[in-house]
Amino acid sequence: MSDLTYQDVLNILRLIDSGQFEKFEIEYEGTRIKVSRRAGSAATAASRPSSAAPTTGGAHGEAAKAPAAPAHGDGKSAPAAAPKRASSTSAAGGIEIKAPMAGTFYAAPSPGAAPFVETGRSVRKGDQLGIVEVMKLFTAITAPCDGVVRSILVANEEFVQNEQTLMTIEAAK
Amino acid sequence: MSLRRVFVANRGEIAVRIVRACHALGIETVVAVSDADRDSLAARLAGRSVCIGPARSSTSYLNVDAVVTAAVGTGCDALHPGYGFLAENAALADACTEMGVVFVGPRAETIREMGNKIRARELAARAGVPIVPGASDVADFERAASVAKEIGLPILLKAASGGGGRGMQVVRELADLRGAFETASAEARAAFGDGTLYVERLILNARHIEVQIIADQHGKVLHLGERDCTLQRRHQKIVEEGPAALVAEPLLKKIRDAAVALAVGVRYENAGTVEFIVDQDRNEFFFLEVNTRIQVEHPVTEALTGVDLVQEQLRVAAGEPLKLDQKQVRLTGHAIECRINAEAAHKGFRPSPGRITAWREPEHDFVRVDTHCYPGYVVPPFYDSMLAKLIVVGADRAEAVSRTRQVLEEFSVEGIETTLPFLRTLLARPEYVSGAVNTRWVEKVMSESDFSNAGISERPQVHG
Repeated sequence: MSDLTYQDVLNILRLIDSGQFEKFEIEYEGTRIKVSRRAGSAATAASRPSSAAPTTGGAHGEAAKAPAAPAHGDGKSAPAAAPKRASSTSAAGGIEIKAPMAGTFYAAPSPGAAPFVETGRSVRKGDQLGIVEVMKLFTAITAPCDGVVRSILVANEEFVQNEQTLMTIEAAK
Repeated sequence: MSLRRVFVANRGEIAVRIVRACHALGIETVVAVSDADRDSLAARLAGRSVCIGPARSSTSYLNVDAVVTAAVGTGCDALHPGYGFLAENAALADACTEMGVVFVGPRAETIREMGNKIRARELAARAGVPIVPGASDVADFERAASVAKEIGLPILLKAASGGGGRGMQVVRELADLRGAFETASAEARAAFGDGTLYVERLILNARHIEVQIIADQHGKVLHLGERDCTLQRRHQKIVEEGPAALVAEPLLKKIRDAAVALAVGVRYENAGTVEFIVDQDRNEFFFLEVNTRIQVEHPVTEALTGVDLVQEQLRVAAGEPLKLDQKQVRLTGHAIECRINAEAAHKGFRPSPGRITAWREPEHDFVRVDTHCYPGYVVPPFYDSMLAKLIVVGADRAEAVSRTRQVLEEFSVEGIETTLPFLRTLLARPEYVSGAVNTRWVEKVMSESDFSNAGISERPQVHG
């Protein structure tokens, strides 16, 4: 085993990050690191495609309509906020569902479970759409009205900003 | 054997605390960090730090494989899990044993037994420790009535199978029992397919008292006195103190003896806490649960006894016998710990992560501050909100209370919101000073003060 320390690796990664080159190779006492990158691969996270929420398991029908106890996080127990409604009507006529605070968005009540909603699903006023968690405070996101989910703009476990639009709902006539 | 290098599988103030305890004993340290904690105080103090995964704790601090692999890969001979995260995860203790790494904590079997509330209750009863009077087999009204007469009112009815507060009913008058039984039983049947109820005595005027235990691998079990953690909000402790000056000494002696009896009964090893509920109206106590880890509020006990609990944990984990005898354990003075969290109390305790622009902590010889924060530190949004623990000692409770109130005024944090204003309000109340409080008191204060839940109503839920 070489004497390459964790800090060395960090420094190497910083060097790679700061440079413009596409290929990087370093050899140190028998350890060889090769890194190559294609142009434009940086900053992909910022331009996530819309409706990127997991849609597998969509055939399971009524996924957790009641505000279920989410099983995320690392605490044995944590307080959860009651449903918060933050929404506004967008230019296109759909209702934008916004994050009530910065935090992690969860599309499902627990890891591996079917998501609360999917694009095209009908929802009733008060149905749970997702969860935003910050520092173990879980806030349920609920539908402000009856309607159909037109788009889901954030992925499961994505970090969202305060007031960021999470999804849009087309209100029932 | 003696430990050479310890892996710290935690973050925040407890990671700092463990690193310092190791260094005081001449033990090297490696701290696990997530992507968000690369520049943490613990990482800077430790001999080395290793990134074990992304910011999300489910992919880093809660990942048993990543933690154990990193411990082995960095040549550590022991692992300290701190509190929270994997601290009470028997699978981590098992994985450590399998890989030849000493787990600084109880045996995996003990973690498993105490983690199962029903099993823990059984073992407590077997050790002669009083458990909350009740019955778990109440299937019809006649049985409910006889149990109610036996244990006395008020009582709590809840579904025997399943939890989460579904179908819970409080009965204060015998006349209400039939209606409450039928409602609870119907709800239990609807939710869990079984209408059988669990009936137990409801203790309204309760104090939370817990006993610190330390045990070596050679059968010696000591208690290091108790802590009073009655000030809670939604089962989260806010202020802890010791000794339990407001509980009568004869009862305290029974509580301490019960904790030791339970620890001996399960052949407990390392540090642990046995929690009890004290019924202030009947002057009785009952077992709640055992926490098989170092606790957040351990500095209260350290201040009273002069014992460094984390160092003792490391010594007994290495197989050393405890040098101390029970007779040598003396509780001197009074200590109070306040938890300072990044939360806006006046906004329903909304979390307040972000950059700390100014951090001024009180400095006195009667004050200890355990923290990982400093001016310029960015509190990440991914973990719990605790910023610091303020521990204040006095010759007696009155002095400790007045000093705590004084230094809470001197403590200032800017850039993020903290619970400091809330703590100042709480400790200024005459009921806190006189001790006329119970486990529901904090919520009562909140409903009467500016700290009411402005716009946000919360309900307890169980996660992960």
